[in-house]
Amino acid sequence: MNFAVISDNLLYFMVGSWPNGPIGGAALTVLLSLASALASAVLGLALGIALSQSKGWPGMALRTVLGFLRAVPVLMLIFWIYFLLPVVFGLDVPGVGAVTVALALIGGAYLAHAVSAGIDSLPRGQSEAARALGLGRWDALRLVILPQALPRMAPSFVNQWVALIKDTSLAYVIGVSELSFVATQVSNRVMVYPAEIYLFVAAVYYILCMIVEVGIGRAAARYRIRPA
Amino acid sequence: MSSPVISIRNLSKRYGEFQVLSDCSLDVARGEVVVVCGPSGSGKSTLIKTINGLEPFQFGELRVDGAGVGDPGADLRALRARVGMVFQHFELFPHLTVIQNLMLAQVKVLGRSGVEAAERGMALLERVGLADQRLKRPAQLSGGQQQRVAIARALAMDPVVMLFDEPTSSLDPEMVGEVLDVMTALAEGGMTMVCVTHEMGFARRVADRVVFMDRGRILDDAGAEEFFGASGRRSARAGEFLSRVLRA
Amino acid sequence: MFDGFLAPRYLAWLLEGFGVTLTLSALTSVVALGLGFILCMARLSPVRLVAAGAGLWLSAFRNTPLLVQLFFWYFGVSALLPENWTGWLNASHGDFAFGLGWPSFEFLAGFVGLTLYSAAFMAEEYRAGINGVPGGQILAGRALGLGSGVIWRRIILPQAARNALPPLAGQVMNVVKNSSLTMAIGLAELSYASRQVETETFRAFEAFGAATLLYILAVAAIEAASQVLIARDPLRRAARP
Repeated sequence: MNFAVISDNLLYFMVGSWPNGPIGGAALTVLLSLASALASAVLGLALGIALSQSKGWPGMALRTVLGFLRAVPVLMLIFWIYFLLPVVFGLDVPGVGAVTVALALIGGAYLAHAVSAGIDSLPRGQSEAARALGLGRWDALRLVILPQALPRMAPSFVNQWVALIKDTSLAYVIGVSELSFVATQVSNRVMVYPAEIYLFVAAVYYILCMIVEVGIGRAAARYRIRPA
Repeated sequence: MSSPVISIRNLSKRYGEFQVLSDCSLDVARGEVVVVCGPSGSGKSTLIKTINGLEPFQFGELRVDGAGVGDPGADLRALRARVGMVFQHFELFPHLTVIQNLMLAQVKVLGRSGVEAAERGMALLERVGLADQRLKRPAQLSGGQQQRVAIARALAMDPVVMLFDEPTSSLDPEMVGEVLDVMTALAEGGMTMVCVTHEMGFARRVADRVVFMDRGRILDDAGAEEFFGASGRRSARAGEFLSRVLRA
Repeated sequence: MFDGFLAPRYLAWLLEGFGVTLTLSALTSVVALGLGFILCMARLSPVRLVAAGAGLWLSAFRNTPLLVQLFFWYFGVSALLPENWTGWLNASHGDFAFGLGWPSFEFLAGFVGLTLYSAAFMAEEYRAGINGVPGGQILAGRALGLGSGVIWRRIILPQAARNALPPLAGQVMNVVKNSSLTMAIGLAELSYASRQVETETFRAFEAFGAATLLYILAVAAIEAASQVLIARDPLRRAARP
């Protein structure tokens, strides 16, 4: 195998046609990952708290919507947002936006489930003790429940963010010039080194995922609270 | 005669198909120490948790320090600030230090300043003998120490009545004594207390009245001496229960 | 509802695509469930080299995107293979089974890629299931004088299988969802078909709506099947008071 094709095109793989064009390649992958990670974390936290606090019809409705988001392939959701929204709302959705929104929604749905499970995993006595002291529901949540529940959910957040990094590759299907798209462009141009190119690209993704898994995973482990 | 601190009338509670409490009535006067005992599943924990509104109920009347619990407009937060509760599993907040555990509700519920709350907290820690542990986290304390901190945390709110839900049931035997000592001192200081407990020795020494429950009903409500006396002013069930518990 | 607006030939495309999706998912799931178990055993092997090798393999397949893996198998491997191999793989070899016809190279590459990817995740679910069995169970078995083979087969594995069933069902659902990526290598499965229909008819709502519905049906069916399996577990019945 000849890896010269990698070094010849390294800059293009890393940043796309920037600065002579919009940012692309691995840099765009990182940006997409960061944006959707942030959005899905915020969404997941809010919906997860809502899920754990709601009963009856609103709770069931929320559960159904979240279940729908977890049953649909990411690709389908990207199609909906990218191809359908312009038709329905007259909005022109850029590819980057469509992918970020789709990943944020699906990531948020998974995280909502994890957050809700984390909150429910605390012994009932903790919320009873907080309420027995007179703390209101939101104060109890903010000061007693969440500080204990969030570190427990950290592995779920890490897993979800790793999945997100990989899912940004789906932007390829709608022509966004992130790393996978750029890789196919180079491969189609050069023609004879697909194995080398895709192995290299896989390695780049691997490094990105490892950074999140090992880096954030270790930091989260340090903040684990030992139960009394 | 002053009105009772706690007044329970014909209280009933069901959970789905299951009748947890049936027609319970009980008065607790200021300064009284009432021990509630009975076999497991008798509803004693549930009854005590209705007093501070942690458990809702369907029928009956419940008044605590003049306020009606279960009234639609009831201010449960204000009520809970006046009723202290100690749990079987201590339930200290593990992510906070001991002194922070004592200060949290004082600041957030009673609106005390941080300085005031810290002073009050320290005074109570001295009282339970744990002032030097103030910066430790609950995980670093023994069970007996944690429960004493939990008692101090409840006392920090200056409650009018203290509720104890099997406070020593989760403790190793050698630590039961230190917690019972704190509770005894509290009783001798005139605190109104309702204790669910299996510690009959404590009940004999400290309780003014004993309430025996079985399957959601109050079967006995008698003065402590009468209840434990050989002449036995108590129901047959209570007699059976006592003979089993006191066997050890 | 909306399908009435789509001409029958477009509906046929969608259903054909769904058929490909289901076939691919079924084959992949079966093989991946088996391969995943083998990989899990390798990962737990007392032989350090085997365990480390399996660990590396699993890490590689779980932390790289499925899309890139599919590209590797479809574009990369065919470039690496000698010419007569690729010729053989691409040619039709008559009927395969049930009159399905020899799978296309797209299907083969999709199957290989999806299976290897999914097996890695299933291996982790098996591992979690095994680790979820309390250590005391092994001690109890040894105290009774049972050999390690028996302990493994009759005490650990049955409990591990129960633990792992719901997450493994989740992974099978993921196989169905992930099969959508094979459209990128030209396999005419459901997502590919829905895009084709949308391009020709401009009826994005109906095309994507029908495809989404079919995916949800497939996922729901797997969920229902797993619930049935769980409900019929004799251990659960015994545990009821």
